[in-house]
Amino acid sequence: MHTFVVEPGDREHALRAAEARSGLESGSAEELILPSPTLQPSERIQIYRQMYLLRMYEAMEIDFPVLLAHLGEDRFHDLVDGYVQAYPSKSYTLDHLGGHFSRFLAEAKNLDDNQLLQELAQLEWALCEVAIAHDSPTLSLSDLSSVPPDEFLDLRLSPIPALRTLVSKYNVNDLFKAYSSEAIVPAVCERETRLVVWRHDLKVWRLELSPAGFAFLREILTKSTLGVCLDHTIDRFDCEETQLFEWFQEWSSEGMFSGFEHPKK
Amino acid sequence: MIANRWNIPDYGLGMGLRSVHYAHVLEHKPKVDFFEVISETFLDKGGKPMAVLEEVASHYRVLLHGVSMAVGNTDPIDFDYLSKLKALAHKVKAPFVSDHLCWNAYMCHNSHDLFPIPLTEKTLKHVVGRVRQIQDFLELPVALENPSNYLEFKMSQMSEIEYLSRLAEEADCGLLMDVNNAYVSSFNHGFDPDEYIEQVPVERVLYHHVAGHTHKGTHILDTHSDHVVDKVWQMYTRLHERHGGRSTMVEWDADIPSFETVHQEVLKAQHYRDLAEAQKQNRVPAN
Repeated sequence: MHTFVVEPGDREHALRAAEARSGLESGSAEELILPSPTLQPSERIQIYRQMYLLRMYEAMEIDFPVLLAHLGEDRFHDLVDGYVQAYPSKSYTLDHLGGHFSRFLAEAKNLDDNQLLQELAQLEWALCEVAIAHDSPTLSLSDLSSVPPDEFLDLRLSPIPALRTLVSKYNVNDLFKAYSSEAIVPAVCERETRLVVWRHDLKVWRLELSPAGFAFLREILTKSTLGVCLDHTIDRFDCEETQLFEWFQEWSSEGMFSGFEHPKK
Repeated sequence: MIANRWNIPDYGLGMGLRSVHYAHVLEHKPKVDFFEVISETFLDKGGKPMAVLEEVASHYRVLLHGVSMAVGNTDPIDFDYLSKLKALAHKVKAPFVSDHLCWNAYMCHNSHDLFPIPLTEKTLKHVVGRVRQIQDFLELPVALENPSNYLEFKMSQMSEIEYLSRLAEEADCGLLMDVNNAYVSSFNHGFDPDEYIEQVPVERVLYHHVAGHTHKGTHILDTHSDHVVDKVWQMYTRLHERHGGRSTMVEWDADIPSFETVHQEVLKAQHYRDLAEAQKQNRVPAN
């Protein structure tokens, strides 16, 4: 029954596949299931099959509304059909269903816009993950001000669980913004974008960062000391230490960090 | 009132906590006896869903209803899922947890459906064993719901209500009697819904669901997308006449209308409870 319900293609193909995999004789669906007063066995099991796909579409539409709007319903559903075959749900919750969609789109054949679709999926999935990631304490500026100045550069910061960083080749943040606000959608174009996505006060935020800011934040997330992060960023980019500190303060006040490891503790 | 096996009280009339109503519930704190939540919506999560649940649980009784316990699966019991469910039940002080008599996965591939179980001695033994293990692990009563079914297996050896009654006794678990599901299945399979209601082992029933459905002509789909039909209310009334009162919740999960519309549907249940009480009085011979 399970094989029949989740098998792609038409009903006859699915019935044959289910019979083959169960090792039963042809026509066994008719032998296993009772007819109802109004439906034949194959029509009864077909009800489950139709509901399966509708459930998959609905779950993916909730998590990827911008991809849905960008692709249109038919193309989106075709991709979901293939996706749930390649990456069927193995979780107790449909909340995890879309976790491989970005990879699937990157690898999908017969698409001429793989990378754009993959990047949109990556952004939307990051937003999903961040929305429901575990709660954690957030570090405040006053927590940081308790650190003696001579020890500050030795701190190693921990990010909150609800934070992701993304790099994209296309203008996916512009597309996301336009689709989500029902504004005029800009043309797809190459525009390297560095984004941090995080949750603060129960809201999910997106912030585009400069190359230097993004490199600095990413290195902080690797739990290098703040001093090493500053040195590496200044070496790689033509930027001032004061600018990096301003960004760091902004990120801290926006709740991106959950705590720090103090070298003396 | 006929007590249930665990003496779990009648919590009154409740609603499903659905995201479209979060703002209304948090702002207005409407007078509702309890809220039922879909367990999986809140398992292992932070952010807004959990913040809303914590706020709701601080003002209302919360009952947990799940879709992933999968008592009929042949895959191993998912104790990771159960651990999360147990933690959630502890957090909201749930007096029991409910799920469905069904299976949903094969080789760990989850269909997220409520597939019917062949109603045989062999599967009964299998399900009884799993429910016992699950209940022992959760350290809470489990109430299993009769699902809406769209097919029946030729190999079945007993009716659904006989199977549920034996399961409840042999696994020592509770039942969540979904009156709409009983009606839907009765149409889809062609059995008498009133006979079904007469056979419900009321001392095992902890809880009721009622809901609307979609009639497709050849079959009925359990869509939870409309008002409860009169026949379902009639069956519900008869159950209340038999057991004297159980917590009841109206499920409305698709085309969800305003909070007030769903709440009005919930409050209808009180009329049918009163009717059940009146009918019961009339049946008692005067001494």
